[in-house]
Amino acid sequence: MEKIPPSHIRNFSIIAHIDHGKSTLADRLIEHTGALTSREMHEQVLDNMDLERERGITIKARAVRMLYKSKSGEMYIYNLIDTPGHVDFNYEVSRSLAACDGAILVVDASQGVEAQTLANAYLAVDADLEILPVINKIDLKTARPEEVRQEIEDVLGIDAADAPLISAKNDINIDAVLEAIANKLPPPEADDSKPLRALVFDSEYDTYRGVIVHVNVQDGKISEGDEIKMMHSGKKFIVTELGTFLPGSYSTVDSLSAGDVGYVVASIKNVRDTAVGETITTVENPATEPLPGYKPVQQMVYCGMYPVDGGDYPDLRDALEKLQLNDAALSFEPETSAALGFGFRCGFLGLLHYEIVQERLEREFDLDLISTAPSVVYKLNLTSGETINLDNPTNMPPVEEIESIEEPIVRASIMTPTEYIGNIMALCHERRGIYVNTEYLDEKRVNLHFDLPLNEIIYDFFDALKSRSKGYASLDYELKGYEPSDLVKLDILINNEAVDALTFIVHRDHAYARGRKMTENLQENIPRHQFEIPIQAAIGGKIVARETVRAYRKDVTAKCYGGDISRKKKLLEKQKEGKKRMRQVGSVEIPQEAFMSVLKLDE
Amino acid sequence: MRTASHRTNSHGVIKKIMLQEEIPNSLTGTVSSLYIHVPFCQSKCHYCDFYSISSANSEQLHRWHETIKLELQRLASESEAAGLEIQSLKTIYYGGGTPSLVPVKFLSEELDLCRELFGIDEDAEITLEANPEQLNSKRIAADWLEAGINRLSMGLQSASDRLLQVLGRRHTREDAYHAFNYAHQAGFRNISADLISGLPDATMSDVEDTLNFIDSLPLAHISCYALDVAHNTRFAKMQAENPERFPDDLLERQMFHRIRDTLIGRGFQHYEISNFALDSFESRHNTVYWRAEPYLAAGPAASSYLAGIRRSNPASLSTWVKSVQEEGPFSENNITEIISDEEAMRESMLLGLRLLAGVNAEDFRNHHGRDYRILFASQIEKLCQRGLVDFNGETMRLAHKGEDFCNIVFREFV
Repeated sequence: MEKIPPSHIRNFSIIAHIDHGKSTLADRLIEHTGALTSREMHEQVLDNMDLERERGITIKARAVRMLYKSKSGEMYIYNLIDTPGHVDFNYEVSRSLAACDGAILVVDASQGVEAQTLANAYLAVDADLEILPVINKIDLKTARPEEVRQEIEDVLGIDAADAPLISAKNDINIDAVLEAIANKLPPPEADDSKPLRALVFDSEYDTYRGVIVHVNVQDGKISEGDEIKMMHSGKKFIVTELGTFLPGSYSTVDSLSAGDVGYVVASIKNVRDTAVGETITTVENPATEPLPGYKPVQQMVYCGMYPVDGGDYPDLRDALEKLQLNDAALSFEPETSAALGFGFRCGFLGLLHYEIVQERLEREFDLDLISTAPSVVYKLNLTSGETINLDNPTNMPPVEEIESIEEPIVRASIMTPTEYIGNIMALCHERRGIYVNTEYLDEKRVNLHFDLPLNEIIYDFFDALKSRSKGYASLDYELKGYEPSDLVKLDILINNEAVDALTFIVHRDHAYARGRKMTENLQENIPRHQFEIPIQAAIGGKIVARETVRAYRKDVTAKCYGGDISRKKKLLEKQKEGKKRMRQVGSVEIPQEAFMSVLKLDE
Repeated sequence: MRTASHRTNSHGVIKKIMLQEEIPNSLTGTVSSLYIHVPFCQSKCHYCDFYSISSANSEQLHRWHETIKLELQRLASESEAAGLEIQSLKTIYYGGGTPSLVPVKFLSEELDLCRELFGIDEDAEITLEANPEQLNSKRIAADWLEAGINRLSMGLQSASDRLLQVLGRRHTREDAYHAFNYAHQAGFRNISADLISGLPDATMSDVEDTLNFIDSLPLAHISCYALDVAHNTRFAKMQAENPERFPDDLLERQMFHRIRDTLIGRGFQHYEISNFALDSFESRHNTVYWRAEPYLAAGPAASSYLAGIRRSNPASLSTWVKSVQEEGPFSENNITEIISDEEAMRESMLLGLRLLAGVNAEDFRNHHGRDYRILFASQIEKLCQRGLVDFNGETMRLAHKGEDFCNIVFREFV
């Protein structure tokens, strides 16, 4: 096949609010360009983790190369770079977008513009991408394509006059999208005479080849055998394989030139050596400046993860190591809890990332886990003049050693129909939000901006938001910075013994209410024992809330005759199994759920 | 107690020879107890989750009776092939449901058939569960005696008419008073009454009143069950809606202890967690269950334990009829559990500890050929430390505290 020039390459991504049909459109494009026959087509090819398919979100970026013959008869290379679709992965999204020159913005014809539509469109605009709006799901009864077209223009300021009206699900008008990519999106600015600069936008780990680095070559050329250098980490490697992406597989090539999207294999052992945003250059003819926009990974949320069965500790370590091979954003280090034994302090980009890791550990590695309530990273200014980062509330130094505490604040955008404004305002105030402003998108919808402490939204904020807006409100946020705050450590005492895994940090004004809610939740979750169990919340030495689990006076199987021996035995076995899954703290058995009860603070 | 040497089927013998280490199979091939389930009730009581048909018609009763006879015949004719030796019966128990709804003619025919097929010991215990409202004349009791029944187990539950209504029972205190006396007048000497502690709306004075009432009755045996609210019963719904009507476990225990202590004071032996008897009037049939000995079963939803296999008949009259006709009582489809030697030993502990006489090392060795004190040394130590059992080197039995927390003890053996 003859070489297709950079002018006929289109590097683009698809951006959308969750559930607006991003992955389905990607599938259709792949199918229509014949990259896969429809028989081979597995729905949502790009989202190939089970979890991604179930949740309908993309967790890892992924790329696929397609060949398209336009109506004018010319051949194009389309490199679709699929981006993660959640605020937790904003940095990863920005790097994927940096590898693109254009973006298809998918908007649901009945839902219209939503919080992430907006957030993603802004990200694309920031990355200087040409945006091609596409209105999807036009065959739904509730579709209102013309209104949505207007919304895109009004709210986003993007010309949507020519936006193709499509149904990705029912294969309507996909050709119009394919043609528009060639005609509306720009080719890469490619100069292969410059020194090599290739942007790393993702990587994955392969047991045999090591790290497979996903790159967009922006300048120069990379060939097999080249000695390459990571411009931020300084690590050097020899290229052993290069290639491009087919859906679900690879196609090797001898070299990649400016404008190309492909992968590099170079006996790299660790994904952290090729962090997202890294710039690859050659040792022989290095570039002077790396590509802009690199940021080291920053974990925002931490929690302790412990195996239910202490004997599974080595398995948990192995599983975390394996996950980390593919997920440079996951951090973990061993920690010990008096209540939970040996486990790991794990760091995540956000709550979704945390949930994903937890689910993968349970599903793919078949581990039973207890995780402690997630915590954000606090900055503690100590009286000694030292500043420390605190990601585990248990490790908080004594109050007299603390000068001040700062907590991370996010700028949240909450898009909602106007009738829920009151509810959402109330929710944000309960969560210590500071109102910034209201953006009126149209008569019926607003975008509310709040500054919210991250620790108020990592528990159950999203669920509360959904329940108070009947599911209509959508949320997006980004880290704004750290601000001083009057925070206190709330200890939970069960049977007069502080349980380290239940300690959490809370604003002083909320300490009583949270302590009360926490003790109530625990009272419901802790089974009755043969003795009375006080459950207390304390700040410093002061008890702020107390509940009691009453002693039980009997545990009797009163009847056991011929017909129910099997049933009664099974019941006892089940009870015994349940007890095994509990944690012994002092003389109290605490079930797994109790450790998560701190998460359920909303009514 | 039976020992492994009683095992008669060739398979067991071969297995024994092949195994160097002698682990006698406790699951003896002989049986001499029979349970017959009567699935009919006039109405469903509010706490009951047993299989029963309310408002049965005579056609259904006939079908039940004919199928019971067929099932007994098939038990007799197919037992040998199943590696089983049915000995002359020592206990027969009609449970339900409401067995007192069965026409006496049917009972009589069935018992005659048992005598013919298996033989019935001279001093066999033959129990009929009866509701007081059906025993409304001396004549009925006399007929039962005549048919071969010699023990009555009557569902009294409470002496309070108010509580009987809450329970959904059809009898009154007065009905009950007459029923027990008719039975005694007709010649029954082995009469048992069931009571329930912890009933909704019950107070301690209700308990006192019931205790006074039963003191006037001719009882040789009393069962007293702590109320267990089962799913899908009227009581479950009531508890969800009005939990305050149900005594908490502290009050329920106080009620139970009052009953226990009063009965012991009157000369009853507290011989099982929920059972009390005058000397030598312990339920022999139920003791078979607690000693993990085998028993035959007939009737829908009835369960048997034979040669280490637990079976349950289908819990529907029509399915059971079909099953008996087409597959017979030894159908593989009815198997619910196959008990290994190890499981059998655990069951001997689990069930044996229900008997307040406890588990005795010699009995256990006769049954299983092993020493439970070695097998379960760690459990014994743990439970003794917690004060839940008493152990004297030979016998382990529930301590007083263990009676109220017996499940903690049992969970050590599942």
